[in-house]
Amino acid sequence: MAAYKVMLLGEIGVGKSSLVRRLVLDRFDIDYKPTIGVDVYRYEVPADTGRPAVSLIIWDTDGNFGEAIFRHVYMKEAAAALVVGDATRIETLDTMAELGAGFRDAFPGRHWAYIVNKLDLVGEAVAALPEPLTRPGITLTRTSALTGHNVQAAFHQAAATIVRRS
Amino acid sequence: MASDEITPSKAAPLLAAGRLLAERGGYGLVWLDPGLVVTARYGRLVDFVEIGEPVTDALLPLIGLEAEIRALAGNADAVVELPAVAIHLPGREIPRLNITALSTGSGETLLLVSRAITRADLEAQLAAHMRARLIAESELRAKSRALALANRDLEDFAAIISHDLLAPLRAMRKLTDDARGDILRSADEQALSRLDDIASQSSRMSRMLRELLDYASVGRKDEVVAEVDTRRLIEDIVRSIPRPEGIALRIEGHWPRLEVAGAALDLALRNLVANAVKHHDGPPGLVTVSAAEGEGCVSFAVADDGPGIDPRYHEAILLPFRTLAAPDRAAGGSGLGLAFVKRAAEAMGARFEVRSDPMSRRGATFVLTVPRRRSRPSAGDD
Repeated sequence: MAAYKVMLLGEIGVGKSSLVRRLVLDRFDIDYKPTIGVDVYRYEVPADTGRPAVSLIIWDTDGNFGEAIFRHVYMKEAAAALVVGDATRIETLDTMAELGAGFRDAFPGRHWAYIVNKLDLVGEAVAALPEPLTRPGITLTRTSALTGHNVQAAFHQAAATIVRRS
Repeated sequence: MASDEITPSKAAPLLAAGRLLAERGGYGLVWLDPGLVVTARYGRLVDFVEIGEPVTDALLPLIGLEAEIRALAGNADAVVELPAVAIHLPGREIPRLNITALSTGSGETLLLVSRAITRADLEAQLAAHMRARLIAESELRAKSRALALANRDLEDFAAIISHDLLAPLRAMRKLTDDARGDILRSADEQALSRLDDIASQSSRMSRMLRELLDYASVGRKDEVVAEVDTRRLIEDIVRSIPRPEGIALRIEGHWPRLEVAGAALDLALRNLVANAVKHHDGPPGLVTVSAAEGEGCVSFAVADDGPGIDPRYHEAILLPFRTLAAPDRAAGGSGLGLAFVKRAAEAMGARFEVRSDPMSRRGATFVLTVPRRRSRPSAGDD
């Protein structure tokens, strides 16, 4: 089964670890423990119409890396990046836009998409998105790691795009 | 162990130490064939790596680095390093690892896998970061409070400028109108008198503006903190304050050397003493300046036996241009003296209090309590 490396990027505390743990372990930990360094998970995406089953090797990075992450050995051969922001903290959405642009420039042609997490805390009242996140062609999914809403969909969509481009 | 140097001919201690560390999970070794399939492993730390399987099945972070690892075969000095990665495999608890790949020179790749810092280490680091953050937040709150005070000052200023400084301006406008009427009626003497009044109001306004600028600068400049001989300071002040015959000035108590913003202390004491003399309804009269050392502070008091200040005005008299004396009274100042003292006290981090209740006894006492950094007995102490 083909395996693809997917980076989870975003500011500290936006819920990157919660998303991947919800996806892989179907679990949500109330106690917040910031990631320091990197945690690596494997997630198998079952075959779908026109797409074989694939493994996603998901790298959950420390939010403190910022844009320095693009020069780190961790990023080598990354097939895609999912850039995460916190729906309750507008400044993390600005950072999202910067990280998305940084990945696009550092890894031209690779897939990247945005995830606005913690939807459960804001309901429908999601803050206005920064302009770069609303441009045509941008992939943005609103999720809740707490409830699991859209989490699987975000990663499955990423898998489909990676396979299509590879 | 003896202090012998380990040499190839005496490698037994090294081998024993290496085996001990590997058995205790300190490190592990994994050998890979050119296809990156595991051919051997050593050490408890890597017992999740299956022999005969691609290394990337277990060491997930190596996925994507296969080409780089294969390229090591052509470069004996090169290594591929992955620091502090935590691998999550179903049903396995694997500590955070440092992984280093290097070529053995015989077509194989050797992986050195060592234990990275533990979760407890990371949490300790995190706790240190959190503490630093709490301190930074606390400093930020303090600065916010200082900013709020500065804003309040600004509001006071706005009130002063809009009210007090407009008063002489209004007076000048009225005097000008009156003088014009006088001139039209050929009442020249009266017109000249009004022109004198205009000049007087203009001088008053100039003085107020000058003093207001001085007031604004107190505490805003970087005050020099140095050791001050407070005994010498108060003696200089007392000598320099003019006073009418019959108003006595007395220095009492222990006046220490003190690490303090000297200019601010001078300004505060000078204004307090001048204020006590100026507003006394004597002679006869007595103004007593005293110093007393407290725990971590020195209190300076200026007491007089004058008319005193009604407690209702204790706060108001500390505001700029607020004076209980009539503006035209000779003794009445600009009303900035006590405002200067309050501002100088803030610059020193000192507390400033007014104690007076004319209903029960005459007189007023102004107390300035300055925090002490370091002190030595003054040579001229009582």
